[in-house]
Amino acid sequence: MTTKQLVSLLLLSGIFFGGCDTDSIDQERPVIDFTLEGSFPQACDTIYFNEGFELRAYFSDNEGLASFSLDVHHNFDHHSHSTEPVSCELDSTKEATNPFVYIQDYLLDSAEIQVSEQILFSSDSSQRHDSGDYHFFLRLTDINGWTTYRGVPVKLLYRDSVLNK
Amino acid sequence: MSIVVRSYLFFNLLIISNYLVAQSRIHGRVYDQEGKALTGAIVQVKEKPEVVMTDSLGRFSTSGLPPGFYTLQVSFMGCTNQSLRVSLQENSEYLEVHLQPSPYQLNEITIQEKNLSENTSPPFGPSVEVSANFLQRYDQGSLMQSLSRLGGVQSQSIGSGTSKPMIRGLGSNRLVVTENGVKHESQQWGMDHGLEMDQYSADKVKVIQGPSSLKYGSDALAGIIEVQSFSPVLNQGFRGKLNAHTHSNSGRLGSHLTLSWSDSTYHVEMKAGGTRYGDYTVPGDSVDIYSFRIPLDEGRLRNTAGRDHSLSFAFFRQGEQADQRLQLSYYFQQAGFFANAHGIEPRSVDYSLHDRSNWDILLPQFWVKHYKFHYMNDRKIGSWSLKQSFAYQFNHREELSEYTQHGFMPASLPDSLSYWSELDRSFKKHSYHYQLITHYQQGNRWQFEQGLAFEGQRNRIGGRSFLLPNFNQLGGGIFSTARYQLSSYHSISGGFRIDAMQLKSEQHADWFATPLLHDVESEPVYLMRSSELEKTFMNYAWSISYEWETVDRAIAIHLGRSFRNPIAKELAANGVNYHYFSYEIGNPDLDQEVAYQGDVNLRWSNTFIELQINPFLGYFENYLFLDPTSEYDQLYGQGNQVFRYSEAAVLRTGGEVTLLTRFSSNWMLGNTTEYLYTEQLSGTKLGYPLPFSPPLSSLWSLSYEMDYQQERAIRFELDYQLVAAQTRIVAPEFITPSYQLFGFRAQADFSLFGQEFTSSFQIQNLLNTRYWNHTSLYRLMNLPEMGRNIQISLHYIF
Repeated sequence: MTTKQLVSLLLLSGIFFGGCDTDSIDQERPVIDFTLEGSFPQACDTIYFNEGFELRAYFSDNEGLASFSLDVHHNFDHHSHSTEPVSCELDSTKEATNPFVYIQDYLLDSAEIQVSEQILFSSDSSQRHDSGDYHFFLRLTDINGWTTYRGVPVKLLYRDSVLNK
Repeated sequence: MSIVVRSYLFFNLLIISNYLVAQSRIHGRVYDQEGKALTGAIVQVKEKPEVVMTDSLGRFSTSGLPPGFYTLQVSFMGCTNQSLRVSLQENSEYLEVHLQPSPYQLNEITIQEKNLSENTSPPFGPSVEVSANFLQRYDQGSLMQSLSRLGGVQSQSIGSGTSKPMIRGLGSNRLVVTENGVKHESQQWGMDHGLEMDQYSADKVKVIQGPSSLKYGSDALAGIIEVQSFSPVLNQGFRGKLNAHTHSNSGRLGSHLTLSWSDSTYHVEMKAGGTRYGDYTVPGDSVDIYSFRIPLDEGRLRNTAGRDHSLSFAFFRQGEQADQRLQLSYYFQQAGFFANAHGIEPRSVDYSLHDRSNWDILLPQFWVKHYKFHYMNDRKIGSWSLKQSFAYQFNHREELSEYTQHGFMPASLPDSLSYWSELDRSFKKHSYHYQLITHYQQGNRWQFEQGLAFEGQRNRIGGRSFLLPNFNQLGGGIFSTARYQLSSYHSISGGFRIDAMQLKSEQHADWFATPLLHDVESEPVYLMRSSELEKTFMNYAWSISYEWETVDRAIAIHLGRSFRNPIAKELAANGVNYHYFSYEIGNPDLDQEVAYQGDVNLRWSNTFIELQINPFLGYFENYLFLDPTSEYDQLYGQGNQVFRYSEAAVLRTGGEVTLLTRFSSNWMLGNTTEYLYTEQLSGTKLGYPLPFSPPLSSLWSLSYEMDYQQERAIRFELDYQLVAAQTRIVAPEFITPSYQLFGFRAQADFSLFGQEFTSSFQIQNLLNTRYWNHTSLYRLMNLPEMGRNIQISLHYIF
């Protein structure tokens, strides 16, 4: 009797709790792909001030991309929120005096896109920014608010200072 | 499937009908000479070895008796025993027993009765109460983790020593935690803010699952966790209790001491305790945050060490007309946050510094202090009782981390600011409460309770990050409940409450200037983060319930409406939470959150089995939540994703099944299974669940208990927990895989030098399983839960 009751109770809990179906809600994060030929920047790449470059990456999502944001900030303290498995050779830590900051957001309206965005990090010669280790931090959202982060470690340099080295 | 259901239901009916036929029983109620129901009276059928106790309404029932003549003996301490002769026919026999006081009444009993009478108002939802014994047996390092064994109760853990409660997937400001009847006011809204309470001071904890705004006003949408930490008993002389414990995983050491003294009028009590723990260990030698692999030193999560200590005094005086209580308590906690990731932001650390010691608390870290003062006056006038309480609480929390230049912040913190560069956020909250409750009992059938409450709050912020502004609030409410006993087993109850609250928040501007446009030499501005705001809210709550209850079976149906005032953060937030890369924007036009919930509570038991089934259905008209949008904000959000406080209609359903089988006098098998389904029925996240929804989970425990010598016992218990994967998620969550856990526990009473001790030994996560808890704060950072932990504790009562 006791065993039968036990079995029936288990069955009951099974029925009571078994009623959930998998839903068709979007649970996929968008994808930032830097592996295609010509993608830029790659980890440890160098970007020069006042010399425009092209951000080249492949963005995709199952339902639709919404926007992306670019945040470039210094990594002189080696705080690292790099998301890359590779580690670059960093300069030694230093105090920031006039670090370069670049924040920009861009709207997207397709499910996939080969981004090629012309960007110029301009720096006034009278008030030069600190050169050295920076993070090229990319964030991409889809229409449902799912986000993907990519933090690419790069060097921001002045062409003349490199030539002087 | 349907055949299975049908045959199953048929089978069930068979069992039930079988029982209905076979059963003849003696049941009834026990009263004192004034006609007041006596709880805990002992009823013994002389012809049977079994003894039953009366419930909170004085009812008892003893079943499984063949027809015949029986002698019943009813006893209650302080009363003269009464014997009755009963002739039992095919059906059942109902009795009403009135006990007379014995010539020598003990004070102890009157006090115990008083303690019980505190909870006479109906709970309006399924409730479960656990004793200090339960908390001691299932001690896991924090109060909420111990309580999470109960069906429908979850804990949101933050590291090894901190956790916050959840009831059926709702937490933070959607449930109320009370200590001795006073709402615990801290920074409940914060995901990483725990419960600042000394867990070893709890004498008992009651969890009410269901809308409970009736008693505590705004916030108690999901339920109440009532912690009782002061239960005076007179005529005990000098007593003491000592608890000491250690955990292998974090190296935790802790002890707690309670000293009390009472005579025939006074009870004085002092409690003091402290714990210290090191970094805790997870299985494996690394963790992955994004594709970034962080090596761990011997599996230790860097900088998760912490400490806490507490001190409290309590005083009770029994008076001719009124009893008085006074309590003062202080609690302090300090703990580190995992150093390699602050929020979801991976950060590199100085390994030589962090791995030097597992005990130091470095940056990032938090500390919190909580002070509480509570005075209560309980007056009895005839069938009336009048209870007044006044409380003051001060909560001070600071979060510290190294200064990091985010967005357009300057490279280093200027000296002109009044706080030091490590101070990320600080919160100071003063809160005042006043409550008056009258209780009236008319005959045996009617019980009334009326009350009014006022609450004031003053909140001040500090530090370099901004999440919510300074604000003050003042509110109050009146309520009335009634309970009518239809017959000895049926009762109905209902209640209504009206509340009003005014909130005033101050304006707040950034301490640093933000350039308005790129590449142009425009004058940077100090952005206004929040403007002055004044809001007034009014709302009401109601509950009705029907209960049919005998000693061995019960059906209770509850239905209620509860509400929650939006908090300052939801109305006026406008800042970047860099721990989560979220730019959080409040909405001053948000309405009060309103929720309805219906519960059914079924209980059935016999000598071998106890089964409880608690299904529920809940509906939120407008659940307020932080919605991750698809936008970024360049200026105010400094390039971060916009998270906007939004409203959505939400459906919640699920329930708990608890089964207890005693298949011999020593062996017991228990199971608790809980399930929750949530769905947003409107808004931008239509079709999505609510964030942090706990997955289907089932906990089995097999225990063996044996008495040895006279009253000493030895007990073994094996736990097996099976948790399903949580695949219903909403941004920014991750799918959490399923897992299974084993645990073992042994407990023994023993005597040494003529003193009585209880010692326990526990192994949590026996197989050192690497798993993730969907409701844990560290889930977003992909940090696994604690590995194997061996816990030894010793309790000494003198």
